[in-house]
Amino acid sequence: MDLEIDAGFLSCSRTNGGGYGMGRYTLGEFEQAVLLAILRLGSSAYGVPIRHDLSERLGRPVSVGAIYSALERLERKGFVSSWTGGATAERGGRAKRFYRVEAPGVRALEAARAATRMLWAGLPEGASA
Amino acid sequence: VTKSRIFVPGQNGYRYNKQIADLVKESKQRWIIDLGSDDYDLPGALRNVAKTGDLAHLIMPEIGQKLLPFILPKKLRAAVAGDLAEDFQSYAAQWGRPYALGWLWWELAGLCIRRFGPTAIITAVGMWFRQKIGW
Repeated sequence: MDLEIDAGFLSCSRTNGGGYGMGRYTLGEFEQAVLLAILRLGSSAYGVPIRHDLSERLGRPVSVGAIYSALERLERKGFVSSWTGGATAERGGRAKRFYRVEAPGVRALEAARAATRMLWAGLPEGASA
Repeated sequence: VTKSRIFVPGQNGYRYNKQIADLVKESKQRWIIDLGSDDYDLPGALRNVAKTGDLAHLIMPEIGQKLLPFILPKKLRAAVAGDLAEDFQSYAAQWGRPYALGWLWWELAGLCIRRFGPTAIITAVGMWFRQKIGW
């Protein structure tokens, strides 16, 4: 776990896996969860449903700052892209920012899944118990 | 005033027999609620409102919105403010305004800490406190 400090928004953030110091960027656990939530939500992936989906699946409250911090980082890496939707009345006329997982993001998720499989390889079911 | 709308002056809401489809803040004094068709699915946050007719407690305090320009870049400001307003409305309707206010301040504090870092905030608070007590 290292501390990433740069000039960007919400720049004081942690990344798991030490990706920046290595040749290849490794997705952290939370980043994987965010990418998977975006994939699950499809075209309706914006801040609120992403946060609710993650809170439900992770079983703990997730803050707005944590979500946008991760999204900002993933967007900088080219794993997700975002666009502004139309203003909606129930949000006081403020627009939603929708997110979509791009091809590098999908590849990073596949790599993370493969890495997890490799780590578990050879262990019988229930070996962790 | 068309049949498909409700006007809500101050804190008192008035409602037709149909379901609420949308909520628009028109001015500081007045809210307009657009009514949908009968088969429109009423948003969860507004179900309680439809019963009580009281809308004022669902509005996010303006101070929360005024703080955001100091915390967020322009690109994300509207999106985050909208998300906070949407969740505030939902929590206020479900759990009450005090809970929603507590949640909102907690989120704003979290955004501040992520933006400036804990050290800068602790230093600033410490300096303010030292000035306050004249130490």
